[in-house]
Amino acid sequence: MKERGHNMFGYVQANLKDLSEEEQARYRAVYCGLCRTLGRRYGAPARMGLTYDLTFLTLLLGSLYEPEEETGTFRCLPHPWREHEYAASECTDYAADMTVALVYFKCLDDWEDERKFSRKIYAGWLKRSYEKVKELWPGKCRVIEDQLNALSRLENARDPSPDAAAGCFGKLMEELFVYRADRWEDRLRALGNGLGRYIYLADAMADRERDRRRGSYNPLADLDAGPEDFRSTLTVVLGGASQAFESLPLVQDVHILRNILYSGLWLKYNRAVRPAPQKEKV
Amino acid sequence: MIDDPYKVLGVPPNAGQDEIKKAYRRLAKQYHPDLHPDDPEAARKMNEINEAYDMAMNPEKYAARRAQQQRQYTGGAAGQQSGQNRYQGPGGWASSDWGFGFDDFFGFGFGGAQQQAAGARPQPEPQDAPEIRRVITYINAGQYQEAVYLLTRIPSTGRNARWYYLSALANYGQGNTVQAVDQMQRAVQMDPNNQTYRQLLQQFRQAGQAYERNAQGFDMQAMDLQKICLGLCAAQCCCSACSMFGFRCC
Repeated sequence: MKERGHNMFGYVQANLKDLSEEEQARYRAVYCGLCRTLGRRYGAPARMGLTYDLTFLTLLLGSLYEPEEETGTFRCLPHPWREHEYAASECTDYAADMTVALVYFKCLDDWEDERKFSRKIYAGWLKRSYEKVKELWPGKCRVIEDQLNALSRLENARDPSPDAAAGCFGKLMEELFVYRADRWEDRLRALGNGLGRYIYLADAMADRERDRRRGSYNPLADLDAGPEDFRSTLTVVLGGASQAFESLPLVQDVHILRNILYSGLWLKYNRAVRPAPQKEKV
Repeated sequence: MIDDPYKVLGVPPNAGQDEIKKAYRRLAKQYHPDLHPDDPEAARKMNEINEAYDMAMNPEKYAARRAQQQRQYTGGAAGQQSGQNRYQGPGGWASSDWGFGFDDFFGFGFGGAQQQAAGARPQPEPQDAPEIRRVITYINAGQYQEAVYLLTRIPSTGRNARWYYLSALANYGQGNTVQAVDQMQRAVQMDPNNQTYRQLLQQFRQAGQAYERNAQGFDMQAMDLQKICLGLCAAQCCCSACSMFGFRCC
């Protein structure tokens, strides 16, 4: 993530417009639940790492395992004037653990790249939390670290293969998706891997113009296809992930999950690659 | 192998996937090993339910697998394709068990030779240079990494439509989806009359079609980002605090 300085999280989000009021409330409750768990488990700084992507993971694993859920209302620090509904389970605990690992490495990364002092402080705050996560999930933390390092190496070497770099992110995500070693592991890996590769590639295409202007490395620089044509390649990348998802016995929250996978997933990409009506065509 | 997965799950034979999933969840709640520790009968029943689920979700695959197993026992040709070069998909998982798999494309899957795309097994042509012949041998042996390596050593002056076609196959086998699709597109552009190239490009895109089929009813063109926090409150102090740190949580 060195040269390119991009924020790859946020692609895996819901298209709220197409969810019912009840579903929106449910999605928010799980999101707030993750935020609350992060705060309780790791302290306030950890909540800054909250992402839609890990909210999706919480929903997905919750749907697959249907664990006992704790629900209620609470007042959160940034919004203390209103009670927020939340829902949390052991899957939320897991997603919180993974969030800390990811945000810790992102801070380290940003400090390395951009020397933003705030990141250095932040990484310091998170270090102890990360040590706790490493004790709980040593294998996963190792994979996250290894794949981010591999990705850094490829980007620094300006490797022309988009698939190699996307593959690193795919391997990282697939590791996050496997909560338990059971009969669903292969399918969760297929889903995570496809989503990881999609995120990396969609983000690379979204940044391609900007990188071209700045002379920055972009793994899709040599590609003929434009963003609209690239859509069909992205759907190929998502094909196996989608089949794996549909093969899981998911009933709870499945409409929200599908909304994310088939609609929300494109929101960020569409906004990045479609010129806004007011913009002048260069 | 159980005989009637629908009976095990308690659903009619024409049950849709959503119904099968609901039935599975209902039964899993009853027989889950966590609820019956050290109970071999519950464990056996759970295995049966799991197997029934996989079969009911993929009726064609299981019929083909049963047929292939029988052929292997009688020493049929399908057993000859050794496991070591079997393409497993990025990350090492074998996707053919439940849905779209690269295996189907290259014909290692349950359907065997019948499902193989014409052109997916390249044949040497009279004008092929020796390196190209070696590339073709590697591709047909499933040794995609070697094929890709040899192909990259051919200078750009030697990269014609055929080079792009072979490179696309080798990259696809390795899981380099973006390059494979891009290269097969170039092959089609350079040799528009070649039906094999067009058909293969179509086949590559099949995974994309599977995605689009599953996406029916959902809006892939949506652009309206709605902040989840905004829905709850007017103030955005959380968001501005986050943006100070550069994290976009909303």
